[in-house]
Amino acid sequence: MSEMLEFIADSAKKIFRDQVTKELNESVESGAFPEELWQVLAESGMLSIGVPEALGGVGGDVEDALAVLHLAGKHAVPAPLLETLGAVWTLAEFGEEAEPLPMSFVIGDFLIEEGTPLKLEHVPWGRVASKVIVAGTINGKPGIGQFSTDGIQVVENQNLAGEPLDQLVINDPDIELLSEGEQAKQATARLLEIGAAGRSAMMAGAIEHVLNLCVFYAKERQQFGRPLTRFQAIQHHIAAIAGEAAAVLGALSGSNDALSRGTGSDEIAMAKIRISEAAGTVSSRAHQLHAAIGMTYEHELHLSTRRLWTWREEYGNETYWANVLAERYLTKEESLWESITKTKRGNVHAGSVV
Amino acid sequence: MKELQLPLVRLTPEQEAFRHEVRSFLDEERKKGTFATHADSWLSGYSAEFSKMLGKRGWIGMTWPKEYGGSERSAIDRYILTEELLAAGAPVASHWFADRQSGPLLLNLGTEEQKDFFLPKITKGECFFSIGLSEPNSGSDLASLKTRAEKVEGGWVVNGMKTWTSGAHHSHYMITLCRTSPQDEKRRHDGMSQLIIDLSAEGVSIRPIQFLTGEHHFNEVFLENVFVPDNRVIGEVGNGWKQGMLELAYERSGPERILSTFPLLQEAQRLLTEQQDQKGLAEVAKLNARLWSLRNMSIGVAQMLEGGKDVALAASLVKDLGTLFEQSVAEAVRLLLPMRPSVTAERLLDRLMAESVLHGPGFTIRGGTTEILRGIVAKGVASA
Repeated sequence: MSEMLEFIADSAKKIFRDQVTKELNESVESGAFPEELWQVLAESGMLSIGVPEALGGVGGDVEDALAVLHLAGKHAVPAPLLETLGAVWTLAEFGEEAEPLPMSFVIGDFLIEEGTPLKLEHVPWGRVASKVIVAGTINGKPGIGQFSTDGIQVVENQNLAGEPLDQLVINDPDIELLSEGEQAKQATARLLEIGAAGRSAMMAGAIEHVLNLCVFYAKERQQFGRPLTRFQAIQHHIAAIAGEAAAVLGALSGSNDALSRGTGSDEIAMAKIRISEAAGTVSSRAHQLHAAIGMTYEHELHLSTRRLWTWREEYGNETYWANVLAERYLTKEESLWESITKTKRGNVHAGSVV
Repeated sequence: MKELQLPLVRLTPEQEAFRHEVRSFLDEERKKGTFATHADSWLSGYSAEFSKMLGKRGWIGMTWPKEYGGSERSAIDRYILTEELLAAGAPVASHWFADRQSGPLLLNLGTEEQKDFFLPKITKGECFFSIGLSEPNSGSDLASLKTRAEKVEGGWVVNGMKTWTSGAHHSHYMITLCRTSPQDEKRRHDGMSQLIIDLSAEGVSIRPIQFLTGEHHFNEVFLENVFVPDNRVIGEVGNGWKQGMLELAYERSGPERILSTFPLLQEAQRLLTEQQDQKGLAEVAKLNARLWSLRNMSIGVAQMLEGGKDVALAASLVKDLGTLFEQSVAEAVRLLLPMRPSVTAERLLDRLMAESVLHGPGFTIRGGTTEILRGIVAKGVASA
C-alpha cells in the first residue's frame, strides 16, 4: 500500500466509522440525504480522488478510490460515492473541473429529440444528482454527454437495498455532448468498467462485514447450552463464507491491479463475475446462520445483504460479463492457459495445447 | 479479516521468460510423444524417465541450496514450473511428494548427513518419497494412529500399517508418522515422530489397493519389525505431529489443488471456440473467473510461505475452494459438449472427462477432507 493510499484509507475508515450509523442508513432509506456525511466527504477530498489537482481534485489514482469504495461497501455507506466518482472522472477526462456535488451516470441507448420528453430509466441517486452523465448510444451513434438536472421531473424508485434508482423525465432535453464516435465508445466502456470495478470493491467490503457479523453472532448466540460456533454445521457456514471472502479478495486485488495498470478488461470482468457469485452464496449462508433475527429490519445484516443482492445486478451481472469474455475467446487466437497466464507460446498454434 | 488478504504477486519479465522456457520444453516433449496429457497427473502420472528429465534441467528441488543439488530459485519460479506442468497434464507423480514436501522438510529439520544423502538424489529425479500418514483406523482423526516404533540399540523397530499411501510401489522411502511413546488421551499430539523408512528394507511389504478405475496408485504398507537406524529420525523424537503440520501448508495451497481438471476445461474451451459456441464459452468464462481468483490466492500463499509466514488458514481455504472447483469443472463441461466419457477413449475430451469424473471424489478427500478443512478454517476465523 502506498503512503497516499494508506492515508486515504485511514481517513475514510475514520469518517465511515464516525458517521455511518444504522440510524443514518434508516433515515436515508426513508428519504433523507446524508448532508453532514457528504460535507465531510467533500472536505476530506474523497469526492475527487483520482482527479488531477489542476482540475480541482486531490490527485491520487483509481486504486486509491477503489480502496475507499471497498471501505464504503464494508460500512454500508448510504451515499452516491461510486456514482459521483464515475461522473467526476468522466468529466475530468474531457477537461471539466470536479465539483463536490452528488452526481450520477447511466449507460444505455438514448434517443434525444427536441420537444419530446426524454425518460432516463434507473438513474442511481437520480433525485439528488446535480448532473447526470449519459453514455452509450445517442441517437444511433456512440456518444457521451451530460444533463444538468435543473427542472427535471423525478419519479422515485429504489433498488433492493432501498438506494434511489429513479426515473428522470426531461421535458425539453438539451444534452451537452462531451464526445462522439470512437472516443465516446472508449469512454463508455471505461465508465462501465469503473462501475463494475467499483461495485466489485464495494461488494468485497460488504462480504467482509457479513463474515464479521456471522462470527460475532455465532460466538454470542447459545443454543443447546453452547455457542453456535461449537456446531459443525455452523462451522461449515462460517468456513464457506470465509472462503468466499478470501476468493473475493483474490479477485479484487487482481482486478484493481490490472485496472490501475490499464491492462485490466478481462480481470474486471472476471472479478465482477466471481464477486457477484460470492455475493449470493455469502448472503444466503449468512441468513441461514442468523435465522429469524437476520430477517428483521432491526438487525443490521440486511444493510449488507440487500446491497449484495442488488449490486450483483448492477454494471453487468455474471451472465453479462461471461458473454463479454466469451466473445473475446472467440476473437482471440489463444488457449485458455495462455489467456490465464497472459503469456502466449512462441509459434505453436494455440489449438495444439493439449 | 487480515488473514484472508493474500499478497498480489506480479511476475517479472525474467519469470515470464522462465515460463516460456518451461512451456517450450513441454510442447516439444509432447510432440515427441514423451507424454500425453492427463487430468490429475500429479497423482496418477508416474514416469521415472520424465522425472529424470526434469531433474537434469534443475527443475526438481529448484528452490533448494546449490550445495544440495538445488538451483536456489524463488518459490514463484517453482510455482510457475509446477503450474505449467499441471496445466499440460505432464506425468509428475513420481517425484511429486519429494519435491513438494519431503525435501523441504529435510531442509528445515534434517541433519547434515540426511541432507547430503537424500537431497542431491531427489533433485536428480532418482529418489522418490511417499508419505505414510493414514492407517486403517486413523483417517481424519490422524492423531489416533497406532503404528509404533520401539527404541532398540542404534535405532527403532517399527510395527504397524499405513494405508492410502500414494506411489509407495514406485517410491524409495516413506516418511512415516508413528508413535514413539504410548498415547496419552490428554495430550493426543505428543509422542509421535517422523521416521524415514527405506521401502526396500526387511519387514516392509507393499500391497496395491486398486483405485475404482482399476488403476494402481494407492497402497497398503505393512511394517513388521522394520529396523530404522537412529540417523533416519527427522527432527526431534516426539515432535512428529508439529513437524508434520508444518508440511500441510505446502501440501494444501499449491496449484495441484486447483488444476487437476484444467486439461479438461482447456480442451472444452478449444472445442467450443472451434464450434463458435458463445453460450458454452460463457460457462467456461465463469469457471475461468473462479480459477483466476484461486490462482491469485494460491500464488499469494506461495509468496508468504517463502517469507516464512504462517499460512495454515489460507492454505486450508485454497484447498477447500480449489478442490471443489476442480470437481465442478467436470460437472459443468459435461453439459456443454456431446461426449462419451471413457478412460480408453481416443478422443481427448472423452478421456479427460472420464479421468476427471472418476478421480473427482478424491480431490476433496486427499490431503484433508473438506469437512476437516472447514473445521480448521472456522476455528481460525473465530479466534482471529
